[in-house]
Amino acid sequence: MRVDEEIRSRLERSLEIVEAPSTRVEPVVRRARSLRRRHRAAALMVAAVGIVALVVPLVLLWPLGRDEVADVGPATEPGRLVVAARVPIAPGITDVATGFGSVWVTGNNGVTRVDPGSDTVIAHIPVPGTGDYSGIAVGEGSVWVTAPELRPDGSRGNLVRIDPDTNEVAATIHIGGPIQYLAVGSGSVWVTLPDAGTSTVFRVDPGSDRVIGSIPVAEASGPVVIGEGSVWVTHPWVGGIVTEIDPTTGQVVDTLDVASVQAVGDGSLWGSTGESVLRIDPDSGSVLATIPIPRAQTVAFDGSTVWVLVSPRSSDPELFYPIAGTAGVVRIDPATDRVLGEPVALEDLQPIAMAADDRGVWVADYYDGILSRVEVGG
Amino acid sequence: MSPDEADFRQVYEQAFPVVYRVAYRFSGRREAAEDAAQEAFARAFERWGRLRAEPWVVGWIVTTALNILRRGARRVPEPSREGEEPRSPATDVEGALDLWRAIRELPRRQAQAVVLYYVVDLPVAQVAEVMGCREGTAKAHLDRARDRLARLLEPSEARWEEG
Repeated sequence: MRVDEEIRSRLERSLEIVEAPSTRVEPVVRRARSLRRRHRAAALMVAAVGIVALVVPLVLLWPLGRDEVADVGPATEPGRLVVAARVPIAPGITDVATGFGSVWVTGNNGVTRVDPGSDTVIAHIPVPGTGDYSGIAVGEGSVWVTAPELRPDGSRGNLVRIDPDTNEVAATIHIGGPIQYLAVGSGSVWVTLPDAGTSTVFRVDPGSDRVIGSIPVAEASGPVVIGEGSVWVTHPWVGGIVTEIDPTTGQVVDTLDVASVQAVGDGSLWGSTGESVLRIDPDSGSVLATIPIPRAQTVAFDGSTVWVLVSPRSSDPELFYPIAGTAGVVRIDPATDRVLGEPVALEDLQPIAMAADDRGVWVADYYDGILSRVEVGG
Repeated sequence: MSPDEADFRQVYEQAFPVVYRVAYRFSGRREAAEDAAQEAFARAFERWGRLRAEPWVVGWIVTTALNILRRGARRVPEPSREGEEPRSPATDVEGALDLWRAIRELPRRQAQAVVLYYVVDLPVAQVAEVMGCREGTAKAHLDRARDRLARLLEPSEARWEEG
């Protein structure tokens, strides 16, 4: 094609006349080694924090006799993924998080606390207004829940703080509007308010329970995650962009052209496109690896492994009529960027969220209200 | 020297000039272009185990250098185009520089696709791999970019036809 030839030849000519400096490879190799050391140190720090977070609740729970709880998982081939437990919550659950030795599920006008040792519900905390779009996150000593819907007091768009020691609502922070996604980190709670025009990320101070900043971002802000020194906000409905916010200044510092960022781990950002999982370099925003996984929906990182939730297949090409048994969970080894073993199938018709803990992942199903624990068997 | 390093050195020696030149055409600043190119190679070497076998590794390094420049530009005012060639209507170079200006003004994904396809010479499937998107999406970026760039080429092509 003539246009192609013309573009190629003009660009070639224009590059030929630029004299490239002669540089040595050694400083580049030294710089790469220093980057490697920095990333390893960061990974070790994350692992150490994870171990502390795991051991402390176990030590605290020891006198309660949780060690006597039998393993409910079926015996399986070593290394194979299994659905080790299915905990009925209630239809309409929308998000799941882990922390304080528990699994926390939001939706259906409340938050449900599940004990991962016994796979049983140990508390239900009423939170009016959670509705169909509530998110949940753990951090800064509390469990945080968005309650976007109308409450009996006439307000909408509240961020609710739950005290994990008492299982009670400790604060209700009015933000307003259909807030949905949130994350806790860098000393703040970050809450997104999607909008058709410019949307907003609110910054809440967990010490004072006050909104201390609002950051305008591109339209339709969605899931938010924190890591590698930044806050990453995905805009899923605008062709795949991610806003990067500097948590020290609260300013937007960049926009990445990637479909999503859903987890941070092993020195990388991880997201999904619907047909693959992306590993993204947080420094440059470049895609480091594209791992094909059909219907990849969301990604979680447990400190060593990337877990991928796969949506069910639909029986109709236009409308979503999910087929039972076609959803699943699969793992990726971040050392090789390859899928580990076979996926495990889920019966869920509408798996909506996933959270990792030290044993595996928990998947919340909106349709039947089941919380499934998936772990490595054997 | 480890086999990894020897392998990397070879790619560095072959590809550094093109990565630098593209970075320079985007930034107009020699120092920024050199820094971005070196940093992109350092990040590639950090992940050499994963990248070395990929046929699109140079495309990844070029894209990373452009991303580094773009992110660095947040902190630096508009490039001064310090070393840009003076405009001379009679030279081929002017047309090429106009083309680079047009590429810089393209949406970022389109510009990325243009560089990977026309400069690094990757097939569309590999352009898509570097960009982390579907082949069809990469193709769409390229088609839109080509339409815009073709408009820039039209007058000179028309002149040639006449001549």
